Amino acid sequence: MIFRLVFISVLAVAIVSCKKKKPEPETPAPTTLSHGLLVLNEGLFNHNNSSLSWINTNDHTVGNSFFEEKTNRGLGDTGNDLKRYGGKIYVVVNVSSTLEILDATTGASLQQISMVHNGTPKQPRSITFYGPKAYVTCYDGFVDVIDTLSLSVTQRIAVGSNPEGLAVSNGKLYVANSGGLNYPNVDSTVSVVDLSTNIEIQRITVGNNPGGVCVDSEGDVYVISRGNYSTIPSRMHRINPVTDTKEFTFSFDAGGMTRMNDNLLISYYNYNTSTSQIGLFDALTEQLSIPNYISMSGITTLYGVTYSSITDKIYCADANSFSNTGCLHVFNSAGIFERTYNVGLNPSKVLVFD
Amino acid sequence: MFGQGGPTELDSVEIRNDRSMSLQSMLVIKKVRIQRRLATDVGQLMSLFTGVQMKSYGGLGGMKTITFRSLGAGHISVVSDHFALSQTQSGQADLGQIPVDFITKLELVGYNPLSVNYPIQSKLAGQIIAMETRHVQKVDSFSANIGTQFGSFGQLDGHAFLSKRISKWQFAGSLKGRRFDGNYPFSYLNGQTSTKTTRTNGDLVDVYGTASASYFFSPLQKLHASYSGAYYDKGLPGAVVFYNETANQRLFGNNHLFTLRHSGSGKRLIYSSGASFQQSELNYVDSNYLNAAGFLHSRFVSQESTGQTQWRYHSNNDSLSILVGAGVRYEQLFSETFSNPPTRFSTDVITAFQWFWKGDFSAQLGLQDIQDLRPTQSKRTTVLLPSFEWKIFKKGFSFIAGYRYTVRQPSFNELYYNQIGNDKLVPEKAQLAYTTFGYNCNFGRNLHWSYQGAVQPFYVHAIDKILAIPTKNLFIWSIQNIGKSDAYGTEVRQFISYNKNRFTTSLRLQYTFQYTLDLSDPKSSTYRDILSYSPLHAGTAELDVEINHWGTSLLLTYQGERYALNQNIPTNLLDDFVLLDLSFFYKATWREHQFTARVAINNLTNNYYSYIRYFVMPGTNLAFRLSYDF
Repeated sequence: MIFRLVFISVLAVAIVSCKKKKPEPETPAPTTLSHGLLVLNEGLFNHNNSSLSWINTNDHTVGNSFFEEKTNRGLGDTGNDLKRYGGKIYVVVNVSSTLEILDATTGASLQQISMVHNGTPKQPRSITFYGPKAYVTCYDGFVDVIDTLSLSVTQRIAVGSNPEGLAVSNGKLYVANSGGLNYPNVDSTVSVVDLSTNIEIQRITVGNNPGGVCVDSEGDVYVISRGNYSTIPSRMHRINPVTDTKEFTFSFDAGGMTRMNDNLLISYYNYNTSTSQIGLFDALTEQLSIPNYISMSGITTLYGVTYSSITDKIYCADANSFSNTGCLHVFNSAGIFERTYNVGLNPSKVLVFD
Repeated sequence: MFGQGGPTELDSVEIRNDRSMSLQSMLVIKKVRIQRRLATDVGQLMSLFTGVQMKSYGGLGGMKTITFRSLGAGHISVVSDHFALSQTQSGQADLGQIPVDFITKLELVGYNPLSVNYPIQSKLAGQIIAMETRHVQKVDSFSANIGTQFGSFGQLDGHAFLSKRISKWQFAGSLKGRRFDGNYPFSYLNGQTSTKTTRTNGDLVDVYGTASASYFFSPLQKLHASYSGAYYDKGLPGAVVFYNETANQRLFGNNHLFTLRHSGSGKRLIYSSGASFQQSELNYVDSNYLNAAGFLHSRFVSQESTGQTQWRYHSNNDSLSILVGAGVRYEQLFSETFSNPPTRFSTDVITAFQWFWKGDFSAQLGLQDIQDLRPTQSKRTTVLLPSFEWKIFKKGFSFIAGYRYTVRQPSFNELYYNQIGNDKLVPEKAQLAYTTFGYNCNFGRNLHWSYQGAVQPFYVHAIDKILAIPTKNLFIWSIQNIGKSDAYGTEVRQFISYNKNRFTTSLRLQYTFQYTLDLSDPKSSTYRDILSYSPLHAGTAELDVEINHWGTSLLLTYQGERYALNQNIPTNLLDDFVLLDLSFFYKATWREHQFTARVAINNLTNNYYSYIRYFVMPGTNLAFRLSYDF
């Protein structure tokens, strides 16, 4: 009897252990970048699994190993920003402390810039451009100036603590100083940098924990202060780029901003209720004209919003539960859902190639 | 004399009148087997138990925790010399900080309700890792041990133990110190590119000492008092991050443990009562932290005071035993981040009985009452924890069936740590059911051969699992009661030995099949996926041979493929690995003096592997050990 039971147990082990999931076939990266979307997946901290997904918008196939296929190496840990400028694609990788520069036609690697200063990783966060220069916020309290031709760091501009988002308006750079690593004594200012001298000329107080920065079609600067994720709400503020003063704080909840022609798409993820919303803000009238512009019914965790004037579509990145792979939901500019793509872990940023 | 090892290096197979011993002995690692491994901490031995999944965060001195049948470290109580080690702050003990040199017995105990040797809180936990050291072993007059171990990557340690019996008193003292440079080479795969480099910031220095005194009122009754202190300072090499190998974080701190225990037995009674006070200081320093100060230094001090008593009565013919006990605990955590220190007051009550009728039936009922004085609210939790087991033994065959219900309280870190903590957490609950089919015998001419075998299918269902997930962004995580899981599997243990004159050999095979399922959210893409870091297959094979004064030991460890995250996709899959460790020893004995020299070659095939993704482990490394016993 005993040996019969033993035999049954061993057999059960053998049967169950044969269960294996078949991996889904990967779509290879294209040789030239056209008719597609490049999606930055942040990955998870300390997992080295940040990645770029390529979505072919003709046949709707997805490959999640774009960077690895193009470079034979991984993107690194926690990709934080993705932008295209001229003929180059810039990927800011936060924990790996690198700036990856790719050819915007082929996706081939042009350069990897190590963002380490005196042996300390600078932890780059976001990137923007002005003239021949790229400006990268670094968590060590600086904005690095990078020559887009020589692809080297040419200058460091001291700003506030733990800078996050940045944008250019009226010949000036506006940098959100989060101070997030000084929690609970976070920063509340925006640094104004004169781009003719690359010197910080002013700090504007907006609200606790500034994050995203955006410029509308009239050049007004908008900043999100993210509060403390509980008692201090996340709010959007408008800065006058001529006087460099904060002119108004809007009363609605706002976690992110995306410019869509004369409008801003205002996204917000409520951490307490785990619900998302995207509103339409008319930047000309400065009114939240439609609070729920896009239906969130199919979105679990809104993690990034991109609008493309090329396709006139809105792309909503969905991080799901953060530790499983995410989705990219596509809407037309009227906010009508079109389709969903399965992408990598924690998608956040999208580049569109026509 | 000779410690507790006896004249032979190999464990004897104990077929005793205590009918459960034949199975239980397979979950015990004795001193001689510990020393064959040349381990430097308890964590390195845990893979020798079935059902145990070790998590080693890299390096010789790196943090080591375990899970047992998918239950996290918070369900496991670590007991040293009958007192539970404090897990107030993190809810788990770092087994990498517990030295093995003075341990005489290491046990994995799931259920033992009638024993008074384990604290009540531990008996109500999911699993117990229990250690007994030489401090609680009775000596005839004098016992001593001194030794040193040194090896690769700057490993150097030394240890000494003295015990002296004076009339009804026994005094003992032990001291252990160790250091590692921890700068071992490793390679990792980045895409298609293999990179070879050297671990940095993996150094370690620690010192551990114990002083104890025992007073024997009679051969069966004693009072034991002890103090243990430890100091450590170590680098945290962390995960390997592509393109950024900077690691500057450090941990340092100290631990103090005072214990007092009175134990004894009479004609019908076995009893023990004890009290303890523990204080642990932990400092975390990150000299690269990009805040205004330019560094981060977090300091935590946790304190725990306990008191408990357990009494066991057994009938004249031993057919019925009853145990009652009660204990209290008071825990506090101090830190600059808390204006009011989090405080927890716990009461544990236990009653159990064992009845030999158509086998051996025992049951245990625990009552745990927890009062958490939380900064924003106070919370009181009372739970009833039933468990029972039925055993039958016949002509070497044995059968056990059991059930246990356990909970684990959220740790202070999970409740309060900065933005991460969640003071609304409720306890994590688990139900365990298991059976064991065992057989043991001695056979062959003159019964030189011995065999023990056991197959143990199990099932575990856990709800309200406490998990850390990134909820605000990837840097801001929070702890939530969102997990639900099932685990079922089979543990197989086989042991055969041959012992004749001065030749002994044994082969020990241990295999765990475990199939875990994430049942947290039916809408999630991970629903019914295998839980992270839960390999389907794991096991060890140990072959030991001893001839006269010489001996050798071969250990083969296998850990199957597992996922780094709950989502079962190829990019989350970690490779399986096989480790081969080989050791030799020579032992010389003269009168009552014993000298032993050992050498071990670990990871003989120079595998680059990791238990936790990107926490790389050392390749081939050597260790030498010299020890003297009296």
